[in-house]
Amino acid sequence: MNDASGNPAAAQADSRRLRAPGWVFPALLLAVLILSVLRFDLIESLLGIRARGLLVSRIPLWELALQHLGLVAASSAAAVPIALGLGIAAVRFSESGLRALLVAAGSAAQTFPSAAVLALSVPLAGFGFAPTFLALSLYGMLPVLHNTIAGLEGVPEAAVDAARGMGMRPRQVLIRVQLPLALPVILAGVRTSVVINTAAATLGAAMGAGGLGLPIISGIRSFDPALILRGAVPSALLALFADASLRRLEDRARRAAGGKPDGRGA
Amino acid sequence: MTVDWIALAGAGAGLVSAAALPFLSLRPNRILAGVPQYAMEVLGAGSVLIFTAAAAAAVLAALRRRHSGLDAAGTLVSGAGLASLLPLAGAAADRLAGDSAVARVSAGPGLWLAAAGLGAALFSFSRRLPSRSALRLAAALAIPAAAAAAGLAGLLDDLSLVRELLSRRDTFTAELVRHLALAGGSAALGAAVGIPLGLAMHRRPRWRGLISVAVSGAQVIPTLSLLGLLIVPMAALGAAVPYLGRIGVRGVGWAPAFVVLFLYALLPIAGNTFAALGAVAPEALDAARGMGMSRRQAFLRVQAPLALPVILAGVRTAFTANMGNAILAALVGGGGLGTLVFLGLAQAAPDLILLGALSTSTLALAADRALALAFRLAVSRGLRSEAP
Amino acid sequence: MIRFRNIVKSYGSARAVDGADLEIAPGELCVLIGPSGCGKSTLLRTANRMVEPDSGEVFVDGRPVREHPPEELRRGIGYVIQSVGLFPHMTVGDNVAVVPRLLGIDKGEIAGRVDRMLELVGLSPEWSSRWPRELSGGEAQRVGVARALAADPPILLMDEPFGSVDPLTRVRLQREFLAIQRRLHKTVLFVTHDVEEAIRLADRIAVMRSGRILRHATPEEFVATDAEDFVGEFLGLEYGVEILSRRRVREVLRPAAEIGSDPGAPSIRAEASLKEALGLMAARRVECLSVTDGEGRRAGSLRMEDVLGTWKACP
Ligand SMILES: Nc1ncnc2c1ncn2[C@@H]1O[C@H](COP(=O)(O)OP(=O)(O)O)[C@@H](O)[C@H]1O
Ligand SMILES: [Mg+2]
Repeated sequence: MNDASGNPAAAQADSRRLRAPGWVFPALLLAVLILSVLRFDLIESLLGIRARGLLVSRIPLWELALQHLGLVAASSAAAVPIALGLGIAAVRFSESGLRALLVAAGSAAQTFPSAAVLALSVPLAGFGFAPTFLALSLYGMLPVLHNTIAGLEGVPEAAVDAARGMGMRPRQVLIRVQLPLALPVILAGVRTSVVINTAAATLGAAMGAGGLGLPIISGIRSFDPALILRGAVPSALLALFADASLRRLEDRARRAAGGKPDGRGA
Repeated sequence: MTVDWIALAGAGAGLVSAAALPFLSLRPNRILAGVPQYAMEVLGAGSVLIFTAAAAAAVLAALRRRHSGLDAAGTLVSGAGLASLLPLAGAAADRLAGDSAVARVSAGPGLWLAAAGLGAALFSFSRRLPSRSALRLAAALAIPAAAAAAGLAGLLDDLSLVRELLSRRDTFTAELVRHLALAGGSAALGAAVGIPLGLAMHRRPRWRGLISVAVSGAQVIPTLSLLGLLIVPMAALGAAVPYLGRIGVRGVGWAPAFVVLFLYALLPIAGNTFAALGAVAPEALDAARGMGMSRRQAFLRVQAPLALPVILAGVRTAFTANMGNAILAALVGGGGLGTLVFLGLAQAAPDLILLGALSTSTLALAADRALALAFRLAVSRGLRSEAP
Repeated sequence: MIRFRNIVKSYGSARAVDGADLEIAPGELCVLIGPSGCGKSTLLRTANRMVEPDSGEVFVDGRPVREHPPEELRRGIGYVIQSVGLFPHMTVGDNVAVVPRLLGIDKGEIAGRVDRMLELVGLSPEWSSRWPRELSGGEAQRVGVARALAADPPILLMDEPFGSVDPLTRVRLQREFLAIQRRLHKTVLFVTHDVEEAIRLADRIAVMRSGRILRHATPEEFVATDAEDFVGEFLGLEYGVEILSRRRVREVLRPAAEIGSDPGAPSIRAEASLKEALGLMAARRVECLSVTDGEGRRAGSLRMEDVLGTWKACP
């Protein structure tokens, strides 16, 4: 074939074949995650290694996993509603300059490394749960804020116009038209936020917040590869699970908003 | 004309926090707790300057309702207030520390919040000025210029952050260089491999699914986990290949950090290159081929230049992210500015943490701005968006 | 000049073109018309080897196109598409200069040619330094035409070139293109699905359906088509009125001397089309118009039966 035109149909079929039935992949990840947290010794004997470290064996792995989960859940629970509210306010009062300020501050803050934000919170809030929670909450707001603004502004002008023309009040337009249509984009921001925080929470161990980063950091310090694996494997699984399950949610929202269920792309 | 609420709130908050919250904090030595110092007491006449600037900015923001043309005055006033904060704080620190070599003076919440509030006011006022106006440019340059001038004049020497820097100037420089080499080198290598890889993906549709899974997967897995997972294979590699072992490829050190940073740069660059090539308007390619360009000509003259902005955006993101992520290299003994951060965490020395974290953030921000500017020049004017 | 012989092209199991035959004479502007998806673009693209037919042969100047290397063939054939396909990273001037540069024509000559081409399509040479994103749809289409003509190819392939602009601009572009064609006498294959456009431009019209050419004839010859069959249905009952736009009032008017003056009759310019004349008669409910020449002097009169009688005047 010498056709200069591409073959979009084939590419589409290609990507469809790769997409497993929605819930299978997240469920599989969750199962492996739970198994790895409860019976890490199985993985160790599979690889033929065993942790020497005495430090972490006193805190069971499942407890570290719960600490980790608690950190991510608490910081996301704080970050998502605040960022959502700020994003909505920014779009609604964009003439006031709030939007410009938040976008400028947000994109500058985005270039800050998460590790720097975590470290900077120590002088502010001391050691332990508090500085990690503070840093994760602040840092986790950025993607949600960014995507809320982008999502709301990406709603077709015609849909908003039609809603107004039918006599909806600004609040009704927001709740019945803009937010449902922007939901997939907003959820993509939530996913990014949760995934980033799951990763950044491993660094919480360096601030004394515990979590799955603890065996990794102790393992690196004592050069104990098996100990590192204890933290690295479950934390990687947790991040992959969070990503996969939130993608699934996002696809649903996208279908509900009348778009194609395509979890890829920002 | 409406009231500039952002500037009003920013300047107001700046005024209140500068007046009511501790402006500086004095510690007799590095370990002891700080004693709050208020602006009115330690700044003397300087406090009048700051209060006046903040109050004037607030009034100007409120008066916008009646009078046009106040934006320039607001920019001037809030810019002047912001630019004077650091030199005034430095001078006050000098007085507070006196002759003591161990006393530490650091910024208090009053100083931070005053800077944030005046910054917001400055942003809001200057935003409405014409985009190429001299005043806007001057306002953007005045703040770093004032800080740099004060620093060079030795005015800041008694702020604890600067003391921390001066007392370990040599290590700082060494770690800075290492940080730049680690982050920049890995990102450059990532671009050198990632762009051809993206091109290969574009040419071979079969790889697409696999690579996009790898790209999203690698971005999801926590950096620290990846770093940990690499220790064993890197140690094995160093042991198996004597040359690599000699240049320092071991389970710890620069090698695992470099590999992780390389992967973090490689995948988004490859992904962006692939997406950019695929997103080139099919009608432009159809026209190119229809006019008699060969495949090679159509790629070099049409497809590649059209994809360039997105490809470069990927490279820029990777460089910026690497500048920040390179902090983690210190965890595996790879050096870089993270060394200061983790040392500070271990010694419970906030100034050291601040020094490492702030300088890393500044590097990331500078890399981002510099590449944005450089890449803008590389892209055809027909493709540039209007905003600078 | 261009001859398609029994062209077949399938995509999967679907036949996009299914045994199409068509011959276009030198200097002829042939409009290929048919419903969307009937294979017009596919057939057009076999002429410059953007699509290779499964079977059948395309001849240009009597030589099969497959004997030409595709790139060289395409450089000698102008190509305009609906979405224009201007290169956004090149200035207007660079866009127009693409093919001359591919052909290795020297720089000084190219610069002059770019200016001449822009002028030909009604743009002044200053447009040369603008960027495509600064152009309106109509301006972009003009540049597209200038780009296709820049290497002075004897043949033009145009795939719905005016399909994406507003109706007023489209009519203006059609008129200008017709004026250019009267000067340059290119051999043109012009694809459209707009009957009015076909009537305005065509020397001959080819009607296509499901991958085949059903009929190829002058626009006038289609007037007698049976309204029941596909061609008649596609062209529509209004075809008989639309085709009046191809003739001017001056071609059929009765000189002033021939009949007595009709003082109450509305007046119309001699340069107006018969379709406009018929419209005026319908609006004023009269059967006779007074015709004026360019200076506003009375040139004669036009009666309803003169308008209706034009069919008989056609071969
Ligand atoms: N590259 C292609 N791949 C698959 N199908 C195609 C391709 N090009 C055209 N077709 C199909 O061939 C038929 C004719 O297309 P086309 O020639 O573009 O029609 P027209 O230009 O008359 O609207 C359509 O059904 C179209 O979907
Ligand atoms: Mg078509």
